[in-house]
Amino acid sequence: MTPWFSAADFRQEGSVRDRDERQIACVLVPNLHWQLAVSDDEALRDSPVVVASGRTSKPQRTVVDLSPGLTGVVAGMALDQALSRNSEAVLVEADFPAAETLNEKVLTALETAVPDVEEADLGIAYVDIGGVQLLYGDNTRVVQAISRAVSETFDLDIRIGIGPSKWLAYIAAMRSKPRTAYRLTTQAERFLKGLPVTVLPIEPKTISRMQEFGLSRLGDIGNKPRGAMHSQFGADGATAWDLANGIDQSPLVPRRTQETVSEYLEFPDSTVNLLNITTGIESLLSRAYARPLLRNRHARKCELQAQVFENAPWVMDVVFKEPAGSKSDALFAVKGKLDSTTIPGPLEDLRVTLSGLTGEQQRQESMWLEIKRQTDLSDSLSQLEQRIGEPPPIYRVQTLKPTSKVPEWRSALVQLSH
Amino acid sequence: MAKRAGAVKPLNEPAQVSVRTDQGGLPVAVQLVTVIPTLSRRGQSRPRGANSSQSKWLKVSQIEDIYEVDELWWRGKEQEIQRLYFDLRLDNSRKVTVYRDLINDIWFRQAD
Repeated sequence: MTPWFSAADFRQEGSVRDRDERQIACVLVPNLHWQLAVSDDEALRDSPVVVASGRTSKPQRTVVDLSPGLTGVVAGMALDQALSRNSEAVLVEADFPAAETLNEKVLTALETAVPDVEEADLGIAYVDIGGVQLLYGDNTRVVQAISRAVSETFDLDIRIGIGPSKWLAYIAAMRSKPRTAYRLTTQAERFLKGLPVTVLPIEPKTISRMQEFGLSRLGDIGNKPRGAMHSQFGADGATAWDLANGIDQSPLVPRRTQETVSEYLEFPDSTVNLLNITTGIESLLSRAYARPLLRNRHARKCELQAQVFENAPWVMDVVFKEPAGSKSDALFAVKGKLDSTTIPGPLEDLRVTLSGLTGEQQRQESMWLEIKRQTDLSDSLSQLEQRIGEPPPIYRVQTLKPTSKVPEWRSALVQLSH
Repeated sequence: MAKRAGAVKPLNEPAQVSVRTDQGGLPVAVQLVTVIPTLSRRGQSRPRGANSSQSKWLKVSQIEDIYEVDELWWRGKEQEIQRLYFDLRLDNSRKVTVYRDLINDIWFRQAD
């Protein structure tokens, strides 16, 4: 099979100063929700498309994604505003479960080629290719291996960028075209200057304020003193200055692969009958707990997903207070949450995914109160992390420099972890 | 490029504030923002985000202390911190600490 990427498709900006500098690749699936929608309906490819969040309890629906080249609309914008600017745009409901599943598959495919993959966001992954160069030979072969791993499984528009930092790799990926890779080096300041401030990964309202101040390009920001940017725009201002000058020291944090067990069924007829749905859940949990992977193990979380007839997909997460080691334990918790949940419409199918697998079979409590409190706190943090999908934003005050003349240096908030 | 939840966050970060000064540069009034919870007819608080804020100029009744902080001067102008602090007693008996950033000439309120 001919790889879709070849050495001739490798573009480079700037010069290589040091062969040993960090090398990070950004694998970007641009407009992922739009690509998903087009894969379901090819007719959408040539139409202006706005992908919006589903009908939820929130008062306003927002734009999640849009077709390439659509002007006047950005992700995060209110849907009403987007449609008023593009009355001919086709509205498509975002299918978050499908997007997350596709994203997970892309990440898993990347991990077959390189060991360290960071999941930054939906459709964005970073790969440390520094050490892997020795395995494959050079950058070109590494990129070929990455592209082969992904293109053999998916028919997607995927861009690859390489740089000495995640930020430069991301910018390079945005600049690259389909089936090409782009490389930015540490001497790419000239290239960064002309980019719009909208590429910065900071709050949209901060970007709007910057534009009101006449800062429309990264070069405008880079020419200002860093202190002035920090004073006017806070931490976002300092971040913007650093990135505008190509400075990004953030490390690549490889993701931890999580074991999951998933079971699926299709209802013969779409149903809203709670008894039918509960029976389906019970059946799926029975199958899941019969799997060898769950033998003598417990799960901390159960996710239910279903396609809803003429509506956005339905997702419900259940985090167990105590890890569930059997079908009956899990079903009890799921039923409890289901009683207080409104099913949005007739369900066409159902998927149950158990995650947070642990080998815990019994708990030993500590007789020391302080240790018990710490253990309880650690367990609570672990469960909360399962529920929200990322480390919970819970912090403690840590004294750093109590005698510092600058008051805000005396203490800091340190995130609790389990 | 996505933002990642930070493990360490600053505490007591200063906030920009409006200050009126006399001819000598000493503060005579400070504009403070007060958050006013919005109550429903039944007297129960509304969800977060429904509160309103009100900014008010408060006169300075006494300057209790003045001191200067000069840090990181060895790292050059980009990172130098040069502040003139004022511990103020306002006319509602409230105590606040403000400082003037001497490099950018901006006033900030130091968090308590």
